[in-house]
Amino acid sequence: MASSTIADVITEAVEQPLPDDVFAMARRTLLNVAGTAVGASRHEAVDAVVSHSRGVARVPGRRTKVAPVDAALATGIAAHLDDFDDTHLATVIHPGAACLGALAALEPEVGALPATDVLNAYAWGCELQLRLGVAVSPSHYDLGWHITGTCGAFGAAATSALLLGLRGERLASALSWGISRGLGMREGFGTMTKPFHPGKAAANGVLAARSAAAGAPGPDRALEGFVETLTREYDERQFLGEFGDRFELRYNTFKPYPCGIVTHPVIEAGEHLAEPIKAAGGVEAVEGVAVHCHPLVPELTGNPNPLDGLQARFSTVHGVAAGLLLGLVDLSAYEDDFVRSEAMKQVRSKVRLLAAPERARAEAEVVVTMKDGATLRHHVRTARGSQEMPLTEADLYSKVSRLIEPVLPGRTDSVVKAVSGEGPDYLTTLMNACVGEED
Amino acid sequence: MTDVSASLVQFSLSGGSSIPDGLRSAVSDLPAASSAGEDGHLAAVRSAYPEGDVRADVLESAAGLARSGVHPLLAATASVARLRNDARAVEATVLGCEVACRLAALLDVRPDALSVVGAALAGSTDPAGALHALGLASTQTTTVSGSSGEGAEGQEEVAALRTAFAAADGLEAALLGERGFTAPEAPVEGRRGLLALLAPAVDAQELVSELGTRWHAEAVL
Repeated sequence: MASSTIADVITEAVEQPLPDDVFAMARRTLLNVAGTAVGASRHEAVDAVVSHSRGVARVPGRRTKVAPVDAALATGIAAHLDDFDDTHLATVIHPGAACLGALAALEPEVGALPATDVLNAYAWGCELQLRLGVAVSPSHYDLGWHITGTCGAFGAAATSALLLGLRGERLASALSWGISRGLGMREGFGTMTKPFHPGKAAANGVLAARSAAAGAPGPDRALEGFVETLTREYDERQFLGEFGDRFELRYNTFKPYPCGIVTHPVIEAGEHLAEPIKAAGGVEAVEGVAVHCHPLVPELTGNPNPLDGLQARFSTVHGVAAGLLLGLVDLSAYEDDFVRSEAMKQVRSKVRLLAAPERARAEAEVVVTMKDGATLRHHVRTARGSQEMPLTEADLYSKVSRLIEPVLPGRTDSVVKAVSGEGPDYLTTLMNACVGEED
Repeated sequence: MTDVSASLVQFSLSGGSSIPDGLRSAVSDLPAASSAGEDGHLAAVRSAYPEGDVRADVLESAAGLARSGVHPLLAATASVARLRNDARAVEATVLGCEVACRLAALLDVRPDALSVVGAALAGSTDPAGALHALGLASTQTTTVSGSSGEGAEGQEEVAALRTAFAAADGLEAALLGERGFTAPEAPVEGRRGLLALLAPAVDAQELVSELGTRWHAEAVL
């Protein structure tokens, strides 16, 4: 499949208006990652980029202006850093972060574009990376690639190219560079390298579009190379079939907890048991905690003794222990000091993961045995934030508010208003809100 | 069993006293400076970086060397080494290229596909930072996919841009590693690391066999 053919298909599709529900999902996706990006904007991983760059582009939650490539990198890192962003469950891609990075980088150039143009570009960037992901799933991720980064550069390139108005050969060139400059090995999970993946994917996508806009040719056989080297399967119908009718973006979900999604039903069950445990004598009176879960839980998040917040995001043992102890798991449950606390070490030491293939991915049952022999149990059949039980508008507002307020007090509503906006100056208004400037 | 990633990092930061004369000459004889010339494509990429940023500098020098016929791996690695390790630029270039060539041989891919690894190691100055730089570079080695950029129309320009990107990305990895940006401790031999993903059947220990006595880079550079 030549990139020019892909570009032709995309060019035809983007001329049509998006279905209303897809357009609305693009806004929800954007609001969600604007929140996570602001929420993590002061993290040292973001500092490592922002503190060494100067330029004209902005990063959500930061006052300093940086070079476009660093705005893309820092924004993508921040949006995914807390593992609190979004998930397309069939691929486990987190599509919003890399495309937000592209918006941040290009805002100085295209800040005046109307809402429709920006949201179309954002939606198609998300959609295309998801389609590529579906076409190579599940083997690509199973082999060990971090699909958010490997497919993310393609999505960011598409968003960037569409924002810059590229069509024909130049769009094809940008898309080729995007496919060939994806990145990400799962070995990096539990370190800053994981959020680096969507950040760098965003930067690579922006550079792909810029070089293409200047007339640079794209690498030939980019898609073929991706398929031959990075996956065992490829279904072209999933990539380009039903174009303009089937939208994978419809199936994006928003995380209620800041960690790997397979942990979510377990945490939810743990939260439900916090009060009953308190009433039965507290966590000191707990003898053991059995977690009945899907086999992906120990496979992806089996670390029983995390040493910091990033490692804890890949520890279901930590997640359920935090739920049992706190009753509400949010970012504070993943702060380094809390992860390393004696109280958490004690509770984690009592947890066992019991995986069984008959358990669904969105399901978990937690059984707590007390020292007096009593048992407490909670069964989550379908986790909150899953496809079947998505976050409500109120849930999403609450989540975004909890992320934005500690960094930019009183600015949640201006970010929500900017994302919901219509008409011109959409990106400039959005970035103003995300850095705390008055309109 | 040797800790492969750490051993490669240690090697890349060593004095390089055993580097063969031929390899030293191949690097020493490179043009002192090379301009990419008038180039709208590169200018468009460069403008996305901060004014005066070192990553933009190596973009240009690597593309210039590649266009003048220097092997892409050498062009990317030498550009970064010269900028970061002037006192030991020759050693940093050869050692970075040697690690990249060893990886390429084991993965059975073109050495230029590992340019980002060579550049990252050549741009590093301390062991902890270099290990993280190796991690950040390794996670970007999807460059093994696709064609070499040779032959087809326009693909020489693609190859030059690839070399420029590899140099800038490798330098960025080195800088981030130095600033404490964390990365996996075993990016090469880890369970989901470079070898597991691209050549699961190979023995990682081969990478460090005869390190410093047998030079894979001799066949490439």
